Amino acid sequence: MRAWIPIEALWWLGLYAGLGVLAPWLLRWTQKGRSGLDTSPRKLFQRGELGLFGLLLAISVVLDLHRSGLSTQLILTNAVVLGLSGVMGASAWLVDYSRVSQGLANSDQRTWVDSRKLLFLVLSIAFTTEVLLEHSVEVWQR
Amino acid sequence: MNRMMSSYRLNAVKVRLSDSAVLAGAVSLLYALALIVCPRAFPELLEHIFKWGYFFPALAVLLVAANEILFMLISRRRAQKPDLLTSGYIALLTIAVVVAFTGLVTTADAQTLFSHIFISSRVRDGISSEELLVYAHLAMVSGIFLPYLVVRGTQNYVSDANSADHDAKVRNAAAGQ
Repeated sequence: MRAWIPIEALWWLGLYAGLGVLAPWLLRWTQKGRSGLDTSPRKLFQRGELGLFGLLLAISVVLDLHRSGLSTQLILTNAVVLGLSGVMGASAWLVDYSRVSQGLANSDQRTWVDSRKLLFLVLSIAFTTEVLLEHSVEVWQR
Repeated sequence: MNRMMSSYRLNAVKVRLSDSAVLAGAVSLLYALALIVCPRAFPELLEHIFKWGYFFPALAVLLVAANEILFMLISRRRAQKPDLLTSGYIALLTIAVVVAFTGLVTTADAQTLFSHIFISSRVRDGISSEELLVYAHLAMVSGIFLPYLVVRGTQNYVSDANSADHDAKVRNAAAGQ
């Protein structure tokens, strides 16, 4: 039994996680010395931005699915599940934004926890979908 | 007025979407890990279970058990008493999701079979193991996430309706005085 390394999926994960989460955090971290900013990820993404990023991830995987050779029914089902989880992730940001813009009381802690957990869900589904797509291509090439 | 204000209100355990997100995400990652570690054995195992006819019943049992345990954990963390109605509702929704996926896989299976009979004359067994892998992944994730999504939506609706009803009663009581 030999393990298989999904290089394309790992590249996809690194690219999105790197540019979407690590790069903004590193940028903020580099400005710490000059302005004395709080560089914790929680402070940076406290308004639910991670949830919004989850929606972007979901869209990118839906586009990949569209280009794959899977059946239309399978693509649609996968797109619906990914889209739903992405929209729920974005709703963490949307609820926070709506409440803040209307001057209503809001819990930053709750928004941060919700958006973080929902991003984990989207990232997991998206990564597994990319692994499955790569596996299908490998099987078809055999 | 105080008597009116302390009128009956539903006190169900408040479920948040993020509660089920971690479990669904972890199951999804474990699924990917199983495929990476056993790229041939894992799809074959799933295909065998599917052909024996145990795949969706087993999936339904596992998902209902996972969702009920999750609901108990949520109730304990919020220090609220888990009610039987919500537990039953979650079980029912989980089974509904699995039944929906059974329908999807059966349709895909029949479509593949018919297309191979009528188009290329070479008869295949039905749905391919790659397609089954994708459906199984979606069924697992949806079976955990979708019931909680519906419960959350229902709770919002019930909560709004209760609040509106409660406010109306308070206003009526105030007008009566």
